[in-house]
Amino acid sequence: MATIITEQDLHRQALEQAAALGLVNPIGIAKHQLGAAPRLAKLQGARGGLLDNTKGNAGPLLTHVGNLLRDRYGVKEVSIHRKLVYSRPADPELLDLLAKNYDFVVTGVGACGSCTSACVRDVVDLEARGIPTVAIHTEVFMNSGAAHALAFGRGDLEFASVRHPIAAIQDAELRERAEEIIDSVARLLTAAER
Amino acid sequence: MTTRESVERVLEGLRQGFQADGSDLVVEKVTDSTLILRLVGNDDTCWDCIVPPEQLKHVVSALLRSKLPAITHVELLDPRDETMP
Repeated sequence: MATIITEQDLHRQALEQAAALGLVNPIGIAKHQLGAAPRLAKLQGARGGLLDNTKGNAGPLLTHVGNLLRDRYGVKEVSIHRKLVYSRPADPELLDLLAKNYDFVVTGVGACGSCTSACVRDVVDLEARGIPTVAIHTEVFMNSGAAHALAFGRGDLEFASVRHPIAAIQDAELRERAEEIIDSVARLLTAAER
Repeated sequence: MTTRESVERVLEGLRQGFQADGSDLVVEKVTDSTLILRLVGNDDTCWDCIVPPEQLKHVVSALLRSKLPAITHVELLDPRDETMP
């Protein structure tokens, strides 16, 4: 028989044991793990890179997200870039270019197992370059994204969840989905609401 | 809750994604410390959509290590692996 133990459970147990011994725990839980990029103070005036993973409708969805970030959050400019293959991480040269030219990156869409994995890898590698990055996954791949983040040493990563599927829907529906997630994307990029 | 039920509960969310790609990750055998999983699929499965066997094992192991530390050994039976029994 096994019991499911969460990180919160372990932390709570440790605190209870310490309290029982009359000890004060000097160690808090880090809000962000090693390798996490600092969040932006605000999006207004920032430059955003959109990393299209080439999965069906990823580019159009990201374009809507970029437009909404510009129109509602005052982002100065957004530009879209495409990686070669959705199922593999982006080339390091492309990640370097994004890190050099933008204040933040939004990538997606994780809409299958391998593309979700590669998206998460891109987030981890961009954040290691100091660029706050958010990946968008469809809702059925959110758990997969979280599991990959854990395996890549970034169990703290959060993602924006969009309704599944996105590949075979019309532009108006993509716009609607972008509207639904835009506040979540903005929140995950900035410090204030995290 | 049995170990098998605990494992299935942990894997439940992950399986959603496999099922969306036309496959599934099923528990073949579980003991207190060992888990054997089988990746299943058919002609409709998007095999390109599923991460390679080694990476899949790594991800599942990391997930189980965080939720069920008693499971120390994970084995994956993957039809893409030619050595699979």
